[in-house]
Amino acid sequence: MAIVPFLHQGVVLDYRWLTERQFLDAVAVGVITPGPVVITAAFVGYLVGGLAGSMIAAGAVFLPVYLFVLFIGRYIVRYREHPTLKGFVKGATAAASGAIAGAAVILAEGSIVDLATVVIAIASSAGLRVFKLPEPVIIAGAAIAGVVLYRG
Amino acid sequence: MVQALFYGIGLAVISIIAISAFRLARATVERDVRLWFIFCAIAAITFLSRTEIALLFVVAGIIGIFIYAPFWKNSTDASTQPIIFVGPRLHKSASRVWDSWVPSLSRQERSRSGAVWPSYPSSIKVSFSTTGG
Repeated sequence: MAIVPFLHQGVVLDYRWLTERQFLDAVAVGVITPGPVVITAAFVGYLVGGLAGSMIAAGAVFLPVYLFVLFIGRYIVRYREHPTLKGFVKGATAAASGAIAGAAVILAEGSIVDLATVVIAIASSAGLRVFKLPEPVIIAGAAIAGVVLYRG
Repeated sequence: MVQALFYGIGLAVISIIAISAFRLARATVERDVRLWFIFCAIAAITFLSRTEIALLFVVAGIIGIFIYAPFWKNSTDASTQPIIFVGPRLHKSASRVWDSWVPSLSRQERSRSGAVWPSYPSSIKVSFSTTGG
């Protein structure tokens, strides 16, 4: 999920390949499938550039991290108890989660427009947070609620 | 129909993103007010500027180092020691700071210059137990 703010920035704000709505749909497709990040990127790539686009996007999302883990990851594992590294990771994680929260607010601003959307958003959050339902279940429930409550 | 379907799905996705942000923050930040301050600051910057500034993540990481690993404090507490700690008698304090930042490099240097590992059994124990071999 940490990649969502950066994807939103690049895909929606900078290059304007997708609208905010399409971007949310792409993330939704990622969430209901295994491997959310690669699937989301592949879906975005498909919308922008067809099959070639989806392959390029999936590879570009996957390869740098894969190479990082392969070549640098073992040093991080070796020194993960090191106070300096731990401090850095804590600070950076706080920042990353803050960025995700900020991106969520930006997306919510464009999507929460009437009472029905407020209800669906609160119900989905409660389902996740209070009832600990799996994410695909939340998406399915929200899709049904959307069909019932949609007014054009 | 399809539009109605995605009308709800978009909101569910926003909820999932928001909840996962707080879940990630809680897992690492726990109850540290200073890190929640970073969280709020970055969230506000992201929202207001509508851009992701990757440099801010690095800055936040460095702030994390200052909070959790104050290397200049010269503490004897084991939790703030560099991993490969050879001791002030062998190295100047400057190289101790270097050790704490780039441990693998200085270890290579040390073995090349034939520095005294075996004469400091305690430091060996520390390095092997924390690095896991």
